Amino acid sequence: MKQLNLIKCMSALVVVAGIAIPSLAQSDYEIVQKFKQRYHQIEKDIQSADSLTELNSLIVEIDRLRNDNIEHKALLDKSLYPDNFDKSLEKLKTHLVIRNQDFTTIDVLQIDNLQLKEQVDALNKRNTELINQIQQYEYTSKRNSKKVVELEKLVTQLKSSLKRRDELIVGIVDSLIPQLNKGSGQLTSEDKNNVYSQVEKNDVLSNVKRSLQDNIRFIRVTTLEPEDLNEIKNQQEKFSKFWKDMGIKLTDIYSGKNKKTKELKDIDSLFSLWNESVANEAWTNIKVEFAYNGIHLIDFNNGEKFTSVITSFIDDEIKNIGVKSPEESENAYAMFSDSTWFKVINPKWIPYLLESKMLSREQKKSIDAKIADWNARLTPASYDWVYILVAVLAVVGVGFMYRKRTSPKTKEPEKPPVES
Amino acid sequence: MKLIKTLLLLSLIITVACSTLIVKPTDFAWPVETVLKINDDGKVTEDRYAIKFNTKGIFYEELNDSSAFKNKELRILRNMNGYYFIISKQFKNIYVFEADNGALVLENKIPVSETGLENPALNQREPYVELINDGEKLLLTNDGIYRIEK
Repeated sequence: MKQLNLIKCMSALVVVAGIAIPSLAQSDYEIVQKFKQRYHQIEKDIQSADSLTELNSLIVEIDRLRNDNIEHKALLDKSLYPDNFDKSLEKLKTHLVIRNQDFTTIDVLQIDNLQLKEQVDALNKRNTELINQIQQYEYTSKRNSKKVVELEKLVTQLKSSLKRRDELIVGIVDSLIPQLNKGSGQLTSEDKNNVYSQVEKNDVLSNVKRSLQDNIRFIRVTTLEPEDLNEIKNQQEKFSKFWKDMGIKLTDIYSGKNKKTKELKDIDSLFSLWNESVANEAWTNIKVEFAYNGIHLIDFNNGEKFTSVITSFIDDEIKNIGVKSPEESENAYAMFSDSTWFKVINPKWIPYLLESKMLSREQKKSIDAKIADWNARLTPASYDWVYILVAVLAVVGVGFMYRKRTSPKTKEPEKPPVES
Repeated sequence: MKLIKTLLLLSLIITVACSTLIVKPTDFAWPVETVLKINDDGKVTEDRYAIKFNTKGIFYEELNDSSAFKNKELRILRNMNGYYFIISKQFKNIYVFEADNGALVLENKIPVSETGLENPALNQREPYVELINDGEKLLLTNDGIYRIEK
């Protein structure tokens, strides 16, 4: 029985060998081509690997390629010109290591981003709290000096917090999509999809939108000084420049995604609104300064309107000289000129308006001339009594002299001679 | 006697002056055959070993049709002695050429199949060239078939 089994085994071996022998007649060319095909496939897989796990699985593939071809090493050494068998496999491993570094970098960037995103979220929350607090203070405690100090502190905190958040958003975009900053080269559809998913994952559009809304709200709830506005303008310019660069690229990436295209348009509108808010803030605050001193002007939002409003206000006041009591007229001038124009507007806001080209030098001169005219017209009224006194004195003097001249000359009675 | 000595000396000088420099041994063997696509004009170009030639003559010789090269591939392998072994599908013979003064000169035409080769391939098996076709193997030299292996 055992012998029978042995014969069977041997027959089987012979059959297997018989089948195997023809397959041994293999073309060297075919061996080399197969090796090259597998080599290129692994190379391609390394480049297109989406994760570190996928990449690591290719190490096994490289080892398998080596093991499957080790018996043809001599042939491959000669045929893989200018490389050889070992050098080719080394090359694959080098590709693998380089790609591995890409993943490590992406991992680090993703961790960075996660941290940045957390910070942005925290700042979003904090900014909302600060804005609400400031709003309350603005409405209820403006006249309380202690509260004003607290309010100023809050505004400073909010200002730096908003700035920090903007910087973080820029940071997120920069770290997320370095390929967008690489240059003018066209992104492949694969690149675009990758950027799209990263932008979505990190709520970039929502955060940009949120940031703009907060910046607008900040301007609305606070009364800002020219220095603050200058600072905001700088921040605005930087953020606008960032968006100008990124917005175009993101629009390209988001083309065809209707809902998101709308979001991009919203962001553009918010940028316009923000610019408008910063420009209007100066005019609003100037109007508030006048109102604080009881001078209620109609709205103005540019240099021309401002000049026209101030001029017509002064014209009205000039017309009213003599209609209003002198005290009222003088008081109006004092409040306008001394307490508002020369105390606040001229030293604080006019340089800002001129520098920002919101007011021209000619317009400023025309306002100054108008104020001087108003002053000149008020001044004579103040010294009327002197003129009257002088006139009265003059009349009295003339009358006295006239009387003196026209009175009949009476001869003095001659003194009788004194008899001695 | 003096004349003989002078003639011998002269002939020695002439022999030395006219002898060709030979570098030997030189191995011309390509490690692996090259499979070349034939272009519309019947030409093939091998970039690594820098050789190009027109195949029309070979196809005419083999198939009596100089346009039979169309959509065909040519397999070439150079052996260690510098002979080019050329074969293609449907060929009944393998062509052995020698490079000579800007030309490939037919050295030998070795009959290898009665019906034409279906899947020929050439391997370098120094000092031979191995022709394989669907599991059958032939060991060749430029002179002809050295051995058939099955």
